[in-house]
Amino acid sequence: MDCRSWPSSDASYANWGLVNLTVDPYDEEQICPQDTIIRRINPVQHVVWDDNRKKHRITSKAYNKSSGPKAGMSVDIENLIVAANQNPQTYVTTPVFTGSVAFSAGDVRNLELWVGYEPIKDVPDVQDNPHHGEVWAKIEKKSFTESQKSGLAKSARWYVELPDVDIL
Amino acid sequence: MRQVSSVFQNEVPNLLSSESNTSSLPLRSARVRITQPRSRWVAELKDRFDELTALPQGWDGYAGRPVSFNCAQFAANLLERLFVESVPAPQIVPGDDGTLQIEWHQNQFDIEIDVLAPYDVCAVKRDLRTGLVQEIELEIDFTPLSGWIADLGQVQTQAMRTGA
Amino acid sequence: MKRPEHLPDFTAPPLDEVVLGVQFAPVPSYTSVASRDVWELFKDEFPTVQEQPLLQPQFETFGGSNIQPSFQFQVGAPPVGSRLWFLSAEENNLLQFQSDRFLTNWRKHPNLQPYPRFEAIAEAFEKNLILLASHFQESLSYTIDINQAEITYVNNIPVDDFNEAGKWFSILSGSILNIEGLNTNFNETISDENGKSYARLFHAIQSVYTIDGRHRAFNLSLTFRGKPFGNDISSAIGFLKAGREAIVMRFQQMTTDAAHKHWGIKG
Repeated sequence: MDCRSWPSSDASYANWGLVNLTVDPYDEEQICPQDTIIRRINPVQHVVWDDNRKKHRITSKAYNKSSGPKAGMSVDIENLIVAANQNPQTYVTTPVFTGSVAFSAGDVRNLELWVGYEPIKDVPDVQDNPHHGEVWAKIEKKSFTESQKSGLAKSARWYVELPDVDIL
Repeated sequence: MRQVSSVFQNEVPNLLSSESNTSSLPLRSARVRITQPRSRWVAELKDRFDELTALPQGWDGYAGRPVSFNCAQFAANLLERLFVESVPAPQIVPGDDGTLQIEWHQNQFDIEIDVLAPYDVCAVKRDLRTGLVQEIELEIDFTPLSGWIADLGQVQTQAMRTGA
Repeated sequence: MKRPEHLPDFTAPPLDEVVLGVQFAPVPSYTSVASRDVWELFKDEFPTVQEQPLLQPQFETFGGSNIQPSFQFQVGAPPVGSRLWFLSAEENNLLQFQSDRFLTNWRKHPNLQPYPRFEAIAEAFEKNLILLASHFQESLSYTIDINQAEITYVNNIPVDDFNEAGKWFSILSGSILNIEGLNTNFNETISDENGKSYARLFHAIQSVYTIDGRHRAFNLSLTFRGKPFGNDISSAIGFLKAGREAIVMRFQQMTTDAAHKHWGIKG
């Protein structure tokens, strides 16, 4: 399947597993290596003071997966947002203001990780997010490895920058 | 409010608290408590623990949950056990799944303790001087962490002496 | 379940209460409404219900330079809910339940009952725990994940004077102290065959009075607590058996030969 043939704006997302975050880990062919994967960063909870480097920076916890089987790291898929005629930078700062970083799908995959669609719908107390995706470890484990977390941090760039905060 | 411990005085009828899991002794009418503060770390971090366990659903912009009470309590107990006077209190950050991470970044060390659940801990130590990275998984015996933090404390103490 | 032959045995031990319990990862999405269904599992044998304050989570960890704090402190928002006691008709047996704990108590009082022995208590506890775990699985899709187990023996040793402490406790025998009252507690780490710590044995001796103040006794409490090697019921029961052995051996070591004779030591 041509990885550029993402759904048009009026397409239904029913085929992408609207089942409250229980999608089995997989790698989405329609997400091309150069596609942008966005990871939101809470400006209070995800930022630590690094006295070694004398700066505020993003914690490694923000580059880790959720624990538990089938769990991954939440992301937004930029192409899906664009295809829905929405502004990505506005989209990823609502409903809760966060900063965000971005990686290419190729950089994610180079770390032995998968990236796929996992829309959020009908989760109690959580806003629907049809453009939600997940980064999964290829092999089931509790956490990403140290090299995977640092690899994500090194390949990240600001998407919505937090002032006076470094990515790594 | 300062936390107290329950130490019974021998001149007072010694009646176990109703919060004990033994049931035989009648409910207490009075007991004397002796004030015994927690470690400086936990005392300094109490508000932070309270904040993390009260995070709103979706705090991370996705489906993030507050830190679970169980994780927080285990982490606090762990910090009590690992406390070293010469080391400042760590920072604590939440995971989106109810977990939390304890971290220090100072004196050319990064120490990160990821509390995934009671008795389910992943920890990493990076020595920025040598580039050495150590990763371990721990359940009940946290002796290695004690060693890591002791190293941090020694370097800290040395820095304080030399003014480095 | 067979009693280990090497364990000291007494015809009339001063046992007042025995508690067996497990702590498990909190049942997700559990609310107090579900407690009714839990009671339904046991109400034929335990028809009376009482509410008690919640027990705080407990974690036995090792390593570090600081002794585990003996006091309870709490972080985060106060937990919501209550602990339920399910009492037997004669009130000598009870089950305790909250969303992360399940315990059973045998009590000598209120209706004086002979001690049924650990084996009987443990078998009944295992049966009830399996029942509870099955209910969790069927009704709440939760697989019980046990992270702690504990066993407590509470002994009440009547005395005329607290100065008799040396007559009962070998650790105080030969003492020149004129004891007016006694309150001591200490703990010990327990290691496996590889020398790795895995449990703690808590000791507490207190001089106590009855409510009317007329009678005195020493309360000797021994608790064995820690994380079982696995998170399933079988591992927990194995841990409790090991705890029972440790407690009974320590009870014999802490008490005097004269006391043993008084309690009818066998063999």
